Order: sequence, then C-alpha cells, then structure tokens
Amino acid sequence: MIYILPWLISILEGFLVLTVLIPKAVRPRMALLIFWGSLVGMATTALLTFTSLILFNKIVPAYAIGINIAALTGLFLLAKKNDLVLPFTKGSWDRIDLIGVHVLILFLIPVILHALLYPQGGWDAWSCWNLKAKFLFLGDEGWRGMLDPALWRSNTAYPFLLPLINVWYWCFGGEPVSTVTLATSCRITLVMAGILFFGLKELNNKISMLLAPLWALSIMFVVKLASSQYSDLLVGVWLLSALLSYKLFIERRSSAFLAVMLLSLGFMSFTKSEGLVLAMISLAVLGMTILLSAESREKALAAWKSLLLTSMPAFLPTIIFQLCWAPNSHTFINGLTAADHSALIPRLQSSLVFLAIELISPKWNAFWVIAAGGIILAGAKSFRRGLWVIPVILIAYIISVIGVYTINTFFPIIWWVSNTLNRILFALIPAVIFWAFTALL
Amino acid sequence: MLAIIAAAVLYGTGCGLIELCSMYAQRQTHPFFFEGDLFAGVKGATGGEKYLGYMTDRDINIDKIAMRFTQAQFALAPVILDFNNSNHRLLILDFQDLKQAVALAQKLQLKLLKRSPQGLLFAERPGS
Repeated sequence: MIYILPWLISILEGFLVLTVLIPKAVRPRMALLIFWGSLVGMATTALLTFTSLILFNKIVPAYAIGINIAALTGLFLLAKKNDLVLPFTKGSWDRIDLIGVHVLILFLIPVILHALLYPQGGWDAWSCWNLKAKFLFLGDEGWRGMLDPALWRSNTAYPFLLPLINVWYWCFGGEPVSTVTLATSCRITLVMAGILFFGLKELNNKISMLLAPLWALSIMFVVKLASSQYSDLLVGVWLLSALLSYKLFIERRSSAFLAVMLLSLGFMSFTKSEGLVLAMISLAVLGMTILLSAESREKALAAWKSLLLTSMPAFLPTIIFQLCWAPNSHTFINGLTAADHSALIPRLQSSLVFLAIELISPKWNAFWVIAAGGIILAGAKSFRRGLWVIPVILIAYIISVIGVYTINTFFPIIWWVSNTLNRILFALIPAVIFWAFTALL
Repeated sequence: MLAIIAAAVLYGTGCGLIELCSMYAQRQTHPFFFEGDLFAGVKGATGGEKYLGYMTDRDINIDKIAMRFTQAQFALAPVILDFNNSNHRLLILDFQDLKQAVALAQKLQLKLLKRSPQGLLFAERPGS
C-alpha cells in the first residue's frame, strides 16, 4: 500500500508539469494529460531522485521524497497561475474516455498475468536494469560499483532512467522489492496504451482509435517483452511522446509542445544507449524541420535556443553520465580499424537478411506487414503535415542499428541479431502504430 | 484497413490467451525458480566487502550457466562477483564437481565459512 503514494506523487507531478508548460487554450483533454503526465512524472521523480547522487554521492531516500514533495508544491502554485483544471473536474472526461480507460485496463490483464509468471523479469532485468537499481539503492557511496569493468556482462555503459524510476518507489518501502519492478513494467505498458489512444483521439476524435493500443497489446510477443522489465518500451513510449508533441505543435502552433517534445527526447536519451541514438536522430530531424519551415530563421533560432535551455534539465542526467561516469564499453571492437575487414560484408548481409526474416516472423502476428500495407494504402496521406518525419527518423535509426551490428565485431553476428533485433523493433511499435493511424484516418 | 486491424486484434488476443493458459498449466508442474535465490544465504556474510571471487568449473558460454552467474550477481548486489578471480578475500566456490572445489580450497588454503545444501562453498583466504 505504501507504494501508492509515490505513484500518486509521480502522476500528479507529471500532470502539473504539463499544466505549467501548456497554455489552457491549446491544452489536450484530461485523459491524455493524465496518461502523458504519468509518463512525464515517472521521469521527473526519477530525475529529482538522481540529484541525490550529485549532492550526496548516494541515494538518500528522505531527500528524494522531500525534494519531490517540494517540487510538487512549487508546480502546484505555478499551475494555479496557469489555469489549473483538476483531474476529476466535472465535464473533463467524456464517455468515450471512460470506456477507453476500462478497455485498456482489460487488455492490460494478459500483461499482468505474464509478468506474474516471471516476477524477476527477463534476462536483462536481473542482469542489467534491476541490478543497476539495486546498486543505486543499496550501494550507498559504492553505487558506482555498477560501472565496474567486472560487470561488463551487465551493460555498464548504459544509462539508468528505468532503475531510477524503481528506486523512487523503493525510497518509500525501504527495501528493493521485485513487486515494484514488476508493477513498473505494467505501468509503462498502460501508459503507452493510454498515450497512444488518447493522443490519437486528441488528433481525431474517434473511438476507433482504441484499436491502436489494442493492436499492440494483442500481440503475445509484445506482451512478453512489455512485462519483461526491460527499458525498450520506455524508449518506445518516449519516442511516441516526442512524435505526439511534434504533431500537436504542427496542429496547434504552440511552442509549448516543442518544450514537451524536447523534454521527451531528453528523458529518452537517459533510457539506454539505443535511446540516446534515437533521441539524437529525432532531435536532428525534428529540429531541422522546424527551423527550415519557420518564416523567420532568426526568430526560430532564438526560440529554439530558449526551448533547448528550458528542456536542459531533461538532458542533464545524460550529459553528466556521459561526461563524468560512463565507462568505456567493454563490448565494442571497432571492425573498421581492424587489419582484416573481410568480416564486415558478411555481418552487413546477415543483419539485413535477419531484419527481413524478423519483419515477417509469425511471432509478430503479421504486425509489420499490416502496418506497411496500411501506410502504403494511405499513400500521400502518410507523409502529409509533418508525418514524413516519422519514416525519416525510423529509417535513420534502423540504418544506425545495422551500422553498429556491422562495425562492432565483439559479438558473433547471428547470436547478436537473434537476441537483440526483436527488441529494437519492439521499441518502434508505438511510433509505427501512431504513424499508421494518423495516416489512415 | 480498420477491419483487418480489428481481425488481427481478435486473432492475437485469442491466441495470446490460449498461450497464457498453457503457460500457467506448465507452471503447475514446473514452479518458478530463480537460481539467484541459491546464493541468498551468502549475502549476510559478505560484511561490507566490495568484491567476491566467483570460482567455478562451469562453462559460462553456456546460456544456462551464464544465467546462473548473472542471477547470483543480482542476488548479491551491491557486492560485485568477479568471475574466476581468486585474488579476493572472500570466494564463492560454485562447482559441479565438489571434489574439484575441495581441491581448489586446499590449494588456496581457504578457510570454509559456509556450505549450502546445494553444494555452494563460501570461503575466506586467510591473511588476505
């Protein structure tokens, strides 16, 4: 029961951040604000918990709780000045919203049931993400032990947003219980589904948008990965958040959504190395698009600079981690600098063949085929009003991933692609569904 | 297009529920077991040590063995398990062949601190 409190603080904090950032005239409907706020809140509570590492070189639970409550109070006062509407004010939820929430909870049941079958999560949960969380929570000043070269099997070079989200909850209970990590994976899944439905409904007020999250949750392989306590879905849901912000910016011409987009990319960059790559690609593509489409280049540049400064707190953990703490990757051998380059072409071929096989694998229930069909069927609509940035980002990211598979010769290629490529694709599912539905309807 | 997606949702949900039922049925005969729990007994005896040497005769390139090692690491965190490095004061000897573990303990003149029912040995290097 004690864990309900950090959950409520987290949702409220995220909700208030969005209320402060987005003016009432262009603010999304309450249901989207709650789900989106839940995501933002996960990151802000984790970020404020992170400051404990900077100030005390360890996690101090009383400090983490105190600073989050102080932030909540400050945000509440700011939100009141910015036309705060409380979550359960009469008329802020319509009937479709309520039906949607109930259906999403119903479709979350298989995720919960699967998560309960594996309470410690999948391989990377105990060998990487929850291991980092235990080091952070139990390690005191020795938390940097998680970066020790002896732990090279545990991806020491990965950042740690997901572990910090769990640590925030453990600060209340005082012990690193696995129920929290299990519940976090289910919560992230629900938040992904909620943002997908209510985000699409915000753009196109139709109940048929409910099919979007249900499509993802009906794929058993997605259910398995979503409940595995990995960081991949977190990458996916931040990408969805960034794309939704961008789309709302195009529709409503409010720079508030650019701030949310930048916050999303900042938080995404702290999820894992793949998240950092995806955030940098998205930042480059979306940033250039906005700059090039602005009427006055100078004004746009000035606005962009101030937005980057506003969203700096979201990038700060990544900057600090990459500059001060991140160890060299022990699982990287640069094939380009090797004397013999003969392995590179077969590695590239294997990666491409495996990608093609993966996309038609039965475990996805023909998801990629149907999505491609939908996007092709929508024709030019798939690339209208800013939608073209989505395939550019996705293709650039896949090219980067294939590039890494080819160049990094540390792992045997077949073992590597067969164990990781499915998770790379899994993280892109929310963005692909968002693209397909916005193009089709 | 929406009809195709709706059909995919229905098909996927149905197949998923069937698979979940069979997973739960399997769990009746094969209960969940986390190998890291085997190492829980060692945890209280590490006394603030940063590293433990993890000595084994098992091949870590085999997935099942790598899983056992990573789960042990998870169970004992924030203590760091150093794989097959006997230079630490405290050592875990996780051997398939107990005779080999005893031989290693004699060779390194280890003082045995604990022995689990599953054959794990927890030992100290005197004087280190």
